[in-house]
Amino acid sequence: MLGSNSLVGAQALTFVIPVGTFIVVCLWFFFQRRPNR
Amino acid sequence: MTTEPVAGDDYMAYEAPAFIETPEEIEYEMRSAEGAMWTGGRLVIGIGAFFFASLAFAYFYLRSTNSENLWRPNDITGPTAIGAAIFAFAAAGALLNGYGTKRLRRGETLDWEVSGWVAISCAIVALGLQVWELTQLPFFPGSSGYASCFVGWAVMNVALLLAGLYWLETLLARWLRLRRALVEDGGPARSTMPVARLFRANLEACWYFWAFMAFVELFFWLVFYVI
Repeated sequence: MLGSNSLVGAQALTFVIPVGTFIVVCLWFFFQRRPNR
Repeated sequence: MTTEPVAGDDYMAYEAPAFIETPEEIEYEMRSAEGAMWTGGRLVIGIGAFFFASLAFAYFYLRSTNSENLWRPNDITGPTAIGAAIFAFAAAGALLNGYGTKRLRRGETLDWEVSGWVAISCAIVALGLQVWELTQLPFFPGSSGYASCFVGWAVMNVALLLAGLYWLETLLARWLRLRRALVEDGGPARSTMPVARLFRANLEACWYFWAFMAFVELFFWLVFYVI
C-alpha cells in the first residue's frame, strides 16, 4: 500500500492517524499511576 | 468627600480577610501543586504527541498517495550519518537524564548533576547537528513530498530539543541555588521544604518529557532515514 499510489490507503490514514493518536494518548493517560506521597 | 477608606477603622472593605492556614491546609496545597506538575507534565506530552502526529500524518499520507510519483524521486534520503548522530545524541541525553533522576531519588546528588549537565551537552550537540544538517541536504526543500516532510521534521525537531533543553537547564540552574539554600535541611534531594518538593515534582515531569523526546527521535529517525 505504501508508496504505491494508493488513494484509498491515504484516505484511511486521514481517519486512522488522528483517531489512533487520540485513543493511544487517552489510554496512556488513563493508565498513568500517580505516586503516593 | 473621599472615596478612600478611612484608615483606623476596624474593618476596611478592600482588606482581604486574614487567612490562617493550618499545617493540614498547607500540606493539601502542596499536594495540589505537586499534582498540577504531574498532570501538566503529562498534558504537555499529550500536546507533543498530537504535534508530531500531524507530521506523521503528512508523511504517511503523501507517501501513500505518491502523486505523480513525486513522493520520493530517485529514493533520495537526508544525510543518514548526521541523522543517526542526532538520534544517538538525543537518546543518550534522555538516558542520562533518566539515570540522573533515578540517582537523585537515592540521594546521589553528584551523579544527577553530572548526568544532567552531560545530557544538556548532548542535546546541544544534537541541536547543532540538526541545524547544520539543513545546509547539507542533497535536495531542495520543496522538491518532493519526502523533502517537504523532512524539512518540517528538522524544524519541529529543533523546537522539541529546545523545549527539553530549556526545561532541564532551568532545573539545573535552580538546583545550583537550592543546593546552597537548603543545605541545612538535607539538600534539595531530601528537604521537605515546598521549594524542594516542587523541584522534585518538576524534575520527574522533566525526565518523563525527555523520555517522550527519545521516543519521538527514535520514531522519526526510523521513518526518515531507515525505512
